Amino acid sequence: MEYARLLSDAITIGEKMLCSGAEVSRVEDSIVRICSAYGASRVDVFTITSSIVVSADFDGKTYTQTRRIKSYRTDLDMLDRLNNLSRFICAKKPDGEYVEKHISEILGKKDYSTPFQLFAHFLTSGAFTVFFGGSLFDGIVSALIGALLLLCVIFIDRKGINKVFSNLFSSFVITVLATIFVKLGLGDSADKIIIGNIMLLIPGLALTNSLRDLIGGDIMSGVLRFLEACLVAVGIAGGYFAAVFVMGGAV
Amino acid sequence: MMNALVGILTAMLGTLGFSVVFRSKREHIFAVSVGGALSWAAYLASALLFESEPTCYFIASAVVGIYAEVFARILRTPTTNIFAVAVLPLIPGGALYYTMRYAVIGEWDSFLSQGSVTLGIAIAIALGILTVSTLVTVVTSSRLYHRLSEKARMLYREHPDK
Repeated sequence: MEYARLLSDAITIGEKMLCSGAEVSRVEDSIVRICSAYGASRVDVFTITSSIVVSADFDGKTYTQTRRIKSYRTDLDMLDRLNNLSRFICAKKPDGEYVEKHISEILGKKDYSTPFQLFAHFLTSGAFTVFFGGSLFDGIVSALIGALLLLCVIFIDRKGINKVFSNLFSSFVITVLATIFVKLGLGDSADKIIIGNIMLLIPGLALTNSLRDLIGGDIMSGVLRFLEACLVAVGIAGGYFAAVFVMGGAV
Repeated sequence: MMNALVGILTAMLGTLGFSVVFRSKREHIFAVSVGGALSWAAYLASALLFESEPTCYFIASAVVGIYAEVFARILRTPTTNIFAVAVLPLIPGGALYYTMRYAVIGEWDSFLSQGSVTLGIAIAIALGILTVSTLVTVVTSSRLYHRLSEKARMLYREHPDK
């Protein structure tokens, strides 16, 4: 098997794992295992959230490849499949064609249908509003806003707007809608409605993951993810601020 | 008591919804939803024993960590796949919101104190899962574990690997 092609396939698997939500250490580990399974005498992987660099020694020659990573989209199903594929590759050492066929199969897998995702957003924002102390009424209003938010997110994704601004826009929409609903007398506390919906945007998970990377030893990735989480929070705060300004007075 | 039950139930429903948002595998949805309920139940239980909030979050995160490690092995999936969703009820979404709100309305003293609370919770959660994963690494690299897992594999040989 051609080593350059093998290396490129291994990086593709690592790249997609990283995009779909794997930790940096898992990505590095998978790439090292795959290359070693095909007989690399030495593999060095350096991964940060935006790039992967791999050097591998095969038969006395060193092959190096770099991959730049630009967008993320949490997809745990994809991560699970890629993880299984990488285990299978290490155990059975299939040829490049087989690997590439399976990679493209995984990348082309079907997503959950839009109505199902709408229902999920509906459920998530409603449940978290009640969870954070809102009334049942707040929960229902929040669930409706949550479903609207998904449509908003789909629209933004299509336009490819940068992350800070897309969060700014979403949080603006949430805050305005929540304030309007409460002013109309539907729902009791706007802040609980906003919190339930913001859970869908919030970098809370990113913040926790970044600290996990940082304390766990992947300092570079940790710092980058931490800054990213802060930037997203700034975006959300910006949207909130704009909405408060437009609606007149903080809720 | 009623509040606790509502909290646990909504935590479960919230994680159920989030498992679709994060595109969990269909077969994992039930396990992660139960994990979400467990995470909040663990928090409430530890809140009965300890005063300090970060301690409670640390314990709850460790409990979810153990749950995730166990179910990741049963379902043959990376631990993150279970943990990332099941931990969501612990994520300081509300605290982060209030931090941001104080910044927007210009109450900087409250912003700083609320901000440090938020950061403290996030650090506690991160430490909780890291402690568990470190312990798991120590255990799974031991000889006894290898012998036991070899035996388990022999027992389950009739079920072919995925």
